[in-house]
Amino acid sequence: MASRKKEDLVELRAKLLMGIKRSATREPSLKLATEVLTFLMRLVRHEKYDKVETLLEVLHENGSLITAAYPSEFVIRNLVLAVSKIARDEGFRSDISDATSAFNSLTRLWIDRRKDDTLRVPLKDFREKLIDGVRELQTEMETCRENIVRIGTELISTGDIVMVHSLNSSTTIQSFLKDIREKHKLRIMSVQNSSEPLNNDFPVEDYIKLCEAATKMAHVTKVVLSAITVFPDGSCLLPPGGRSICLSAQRHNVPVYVLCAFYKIAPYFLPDPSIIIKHTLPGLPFGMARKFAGRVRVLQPAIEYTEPGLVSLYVTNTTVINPHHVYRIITDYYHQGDVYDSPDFQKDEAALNSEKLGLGAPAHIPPVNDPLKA
Amino acid sequence: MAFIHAKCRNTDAPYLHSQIHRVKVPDAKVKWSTDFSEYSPPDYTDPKTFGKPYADDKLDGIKWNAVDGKINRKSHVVDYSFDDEGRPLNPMGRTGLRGRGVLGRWGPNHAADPIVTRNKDGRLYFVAIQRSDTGEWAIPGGMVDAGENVSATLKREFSEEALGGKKTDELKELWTRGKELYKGYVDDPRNTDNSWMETVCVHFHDDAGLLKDVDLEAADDATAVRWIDVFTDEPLYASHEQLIKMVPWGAVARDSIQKKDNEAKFSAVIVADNFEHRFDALFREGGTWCQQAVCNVPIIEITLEWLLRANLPKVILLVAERNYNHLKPVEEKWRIHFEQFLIVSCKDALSVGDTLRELDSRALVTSDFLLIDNPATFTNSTLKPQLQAFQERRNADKHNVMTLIYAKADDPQKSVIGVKKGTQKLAYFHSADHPSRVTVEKNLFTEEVVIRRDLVDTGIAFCSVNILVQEILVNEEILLLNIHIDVLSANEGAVQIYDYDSYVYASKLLLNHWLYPLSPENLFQSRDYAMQSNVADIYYAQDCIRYGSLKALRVDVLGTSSLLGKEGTYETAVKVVNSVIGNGTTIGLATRITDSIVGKNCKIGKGCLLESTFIGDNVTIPDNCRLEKQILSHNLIYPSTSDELNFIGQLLSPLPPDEDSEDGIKCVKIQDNVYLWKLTSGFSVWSRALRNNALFSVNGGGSNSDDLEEEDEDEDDLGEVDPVSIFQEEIFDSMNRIIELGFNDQTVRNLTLEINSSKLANNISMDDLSKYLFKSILQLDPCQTIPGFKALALQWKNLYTNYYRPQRCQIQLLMGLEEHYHAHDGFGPKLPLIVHFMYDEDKGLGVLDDTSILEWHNTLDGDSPLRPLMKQLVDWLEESDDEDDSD
Repeated sequence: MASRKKEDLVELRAKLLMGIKRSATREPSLKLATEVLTFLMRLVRHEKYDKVETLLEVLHENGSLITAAYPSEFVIRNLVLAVSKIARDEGFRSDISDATSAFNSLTRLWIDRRKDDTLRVPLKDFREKLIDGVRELQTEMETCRENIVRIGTELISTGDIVMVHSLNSSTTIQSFLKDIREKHKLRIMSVQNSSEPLNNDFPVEDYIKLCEAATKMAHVTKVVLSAITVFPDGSCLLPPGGRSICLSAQRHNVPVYVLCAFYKIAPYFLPDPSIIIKHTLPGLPFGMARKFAGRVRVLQPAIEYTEPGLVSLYVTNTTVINPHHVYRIITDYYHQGDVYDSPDFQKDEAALNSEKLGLGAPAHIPPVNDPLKA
Repeated sequence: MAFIHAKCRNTDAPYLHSQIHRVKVPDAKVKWSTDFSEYSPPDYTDPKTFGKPYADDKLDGIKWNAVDGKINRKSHVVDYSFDDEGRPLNPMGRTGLRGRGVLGRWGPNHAADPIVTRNKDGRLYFVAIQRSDTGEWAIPGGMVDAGENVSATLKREFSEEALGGKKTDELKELWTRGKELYKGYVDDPRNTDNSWMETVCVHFHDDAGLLKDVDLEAADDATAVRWIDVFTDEPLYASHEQLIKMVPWGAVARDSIQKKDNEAKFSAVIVADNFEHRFDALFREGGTWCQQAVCNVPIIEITLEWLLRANLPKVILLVAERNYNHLKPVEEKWRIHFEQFLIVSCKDALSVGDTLRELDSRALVTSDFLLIDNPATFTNSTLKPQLQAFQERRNADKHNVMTLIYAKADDPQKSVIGVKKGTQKLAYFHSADHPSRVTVEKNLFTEEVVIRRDLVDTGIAFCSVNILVQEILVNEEILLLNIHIDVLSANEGAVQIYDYDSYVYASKLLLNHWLYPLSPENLFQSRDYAMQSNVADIYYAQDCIRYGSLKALRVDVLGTSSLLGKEGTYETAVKVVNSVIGNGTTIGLATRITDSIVGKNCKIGKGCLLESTFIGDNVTIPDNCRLEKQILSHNLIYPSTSDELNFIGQLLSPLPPDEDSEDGIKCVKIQDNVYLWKLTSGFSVWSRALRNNALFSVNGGGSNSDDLEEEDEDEDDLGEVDPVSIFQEEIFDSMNRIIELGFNDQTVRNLTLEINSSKLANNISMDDLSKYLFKSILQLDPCQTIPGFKALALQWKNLYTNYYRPQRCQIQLLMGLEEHYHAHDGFGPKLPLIVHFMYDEDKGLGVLDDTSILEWHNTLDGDSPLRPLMKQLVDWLEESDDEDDSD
């Protein structure tokens, strides 16, 4: 097994990426996360490296490639970073004392930018420890759904009217509801997209359309949503329609709980949501394409960006956390070296210092002879 | 002209084991019946054969044309005749050498050739031995010994030559499975005027794996024996190549596979080439259609991507041999994502039909399949309900052979189809040249046919494997009887690229997410860059993002819904809308590009305005140009002085068309390194829905589609190409080719197939087919003489019986004859002879009935010059008719 060639890695990577493409709709993120982690496990297990830096290079290279193929799937890059953090923790022992300090974890990721000392352990031990670390991550991933459910059910009480969204696509919400139903007597309202088939495996009391959500919100006591990605500032990406549900919940002062597994928490901010928000089918019949394509832009985002103020609490597999404190758990999973030592970041930072970034067209447009008028 | 033996007329080398050269016999003088008074070939009989038991000594006392004691001297072909010295004469004609040569017997020398085949890992193999003398591979056959029957020879030779003399029980079983493939004359280098080879070739297919564990062992006179691929490039001995070609490989493989695996997997077959002349200019200097980019992604990658989502396990790409190497990287990349991924290289494929025939002959498809005849066919449907419906229909009735997939969309061609209510069976299909016209037929009313104009053909079809079997294509009614259509649901779309208009449209759809999840950010990208878009939906190719951070995009250009390649340079105030710009392209100040595709490394000047334009790679456009609906092929430097509007809908290329290959193209030189390409068919290069004249009449840029249509209406007098003449031309070419190939049943079957394909392609009715087929036959070279006509007709008897059984077809034949008579002076005397020959059942063809002849005769004008010509025959027919009645 250990003698597997590099081509295998390339093939494995291609298979991973194609596997994501294969399904027409977005699959549960746990499945994607498992696949990515399996790939990374294979990487740390069989790839040749003689020091930690080499491994990090390999990780970064492969990580970049798989991330680039799906820039909006944050789960992929998060997991690459998480594995990279394990590698750093096991490889460099210099800061081991700091990392355990709860006080430091609050600010350290953002402040402490000093380089790690390359204090190396024997390679064989390192590989074993690394594999153990990734395996731990795998276990955490496997158990994270039940942990979320366990922690989340504390927030719901008997008599609640709970509004959920994207019930069909989120297996976490399904198991969450199943669990609280056993414990409490409550009423569930599911917001369905019009094209979505009803979920027969998991019948709920009410099915409503997204446009009804605002009026029904008056009766709802809790909103439970499932995040696609959570950013350190407490903002998050939700399935389309999620933001409007949050807005009407805010209007009626209904608490919004967002379920989110650890691998969905990203260690960086999103400067411009439009670079990752993609649009899906225009939602018009294809018969109109000849007339409309290129003349009409119909915006049907595949995911929605939601501001931190709209979410009451995030429920992760380890804790329940206020949106403004999300950044505190970042150090549990990511290493600052991965986030801030990348050339891109440094380049961007330099750019930030010298000029403003991404502000539309250049400041002045010199007068030109319009060929149309000429 | 019929089969002429060639190998035994070779004068380049001396006759085998001798110093004697054959005398040259020209093709025209091969037949004994042709006078060739100066013919005086050398007489040679190999002295080594004298006194050998297998050789004849004297001519006296031999019982010719009969079984002579233990020796079979009957020919499989004919009763042979004799020369002045009493030697038998080669039934195929002169060879340039008299005597017995190295052969043992005067007259026919009988051989037997067993072709033993098996199917392994989806490929077909046959047992071949390598001859030690020539190194060529050959079938392990041999001469029939005296007193031996053919089947004994087959068994003996095979076990001697291929199995080292072993006889096993497995073989006994195998020998019961023989099917005779060929029996008759062999064009063998050993043949002489008086002595020739004949063979019986029997095909044994080992579909039960009988020979799986049997070791092949070469005999002393062979260097090797092994299973070789039937499509091998290795040289095959003499006539054996012909024999191998006679094996119905398609049927063999299908039979054996279907027996084993009834649940064969649904596969996708993509014809990876484009036979559209419009795109020729893009490949003038190499490259293939598949590699052509849409949204900077090769076409084939987009197609494979949606196929991946349709979840078909098996993909077969058919590609012309010259393009095979271009697809190698595609195979390497995609092989791992499908259970089976095959690229089939087709020799000399010039049409979709050619490639499909190749597919059949290789028997690679053994189950029903999805056919995409243009790789540039994109859909966001997974086709699951359509596939299911197709399979249900197939199970209900095996004759439901095909389902065409349509999408609800506006078709610029406004093509029309008729569908039977309820069953979705295709009942009316538009003609090729007037897609928007309905020719009303009675059955459209009686059968509750719904005429639909709201659909567009997606270019995707589900086909039964039987569609490949020739018999079905021979059935004239296939077009209407057994084809169904299925329509994609309203939110699913599909698009096909067949001209530049649809090219631009397809990229517009992809850029605007109309085919989501096929959209730029989801398309598979090469490892060197990734796509990121900004709020205006302009996609920028980025270097691979370091995953550690997210950075905001620069905004280089104005506009929306476009895709910009990497390393481009965009000056200020460039506006790009619904367009794709290739890598490394420079665009000047304030240039506007709308609905266009621009290739790699182009230089576009300042202040240009490009609207609906297709620009290849490395094109240079000077400042302040205004282009609309133009195609600029690779490496063109756009002439700055020209009046651009004259080129609307036209293609400019720096090179003239390749003289050898591109016959659908006319070319005008504008200036040095600028050539204007036009289609000979008169259609605009830009769009197949437009004619050139329509475009030229449009003033300015306002190409209003209504205007165009009006123009369209009076196009008839502008030298439009008539489908009947195309049909005639096509079948004439096919027939000439078949004649060149020589005669056997297979070639005639192929001819039938080609005629039927042309009929379908040009939407020719059965009546027209009957008439024009015969007219074309009459124009063939061999048919200029009566004996030539007769000889060919007898060889093509199957063709005649196939098409001329119904009486109305016979009458059409006679009408064709009549038209031919009017068009050709001096044909008169031949006409009654031909009619008689076609009528005569004993010596002629017997395809015409007397009633048809009489009926046709009645339709002739009273003063028609044909009446006196036909008088004798008609009188005789009427007489015999009366006689029949009185009996």
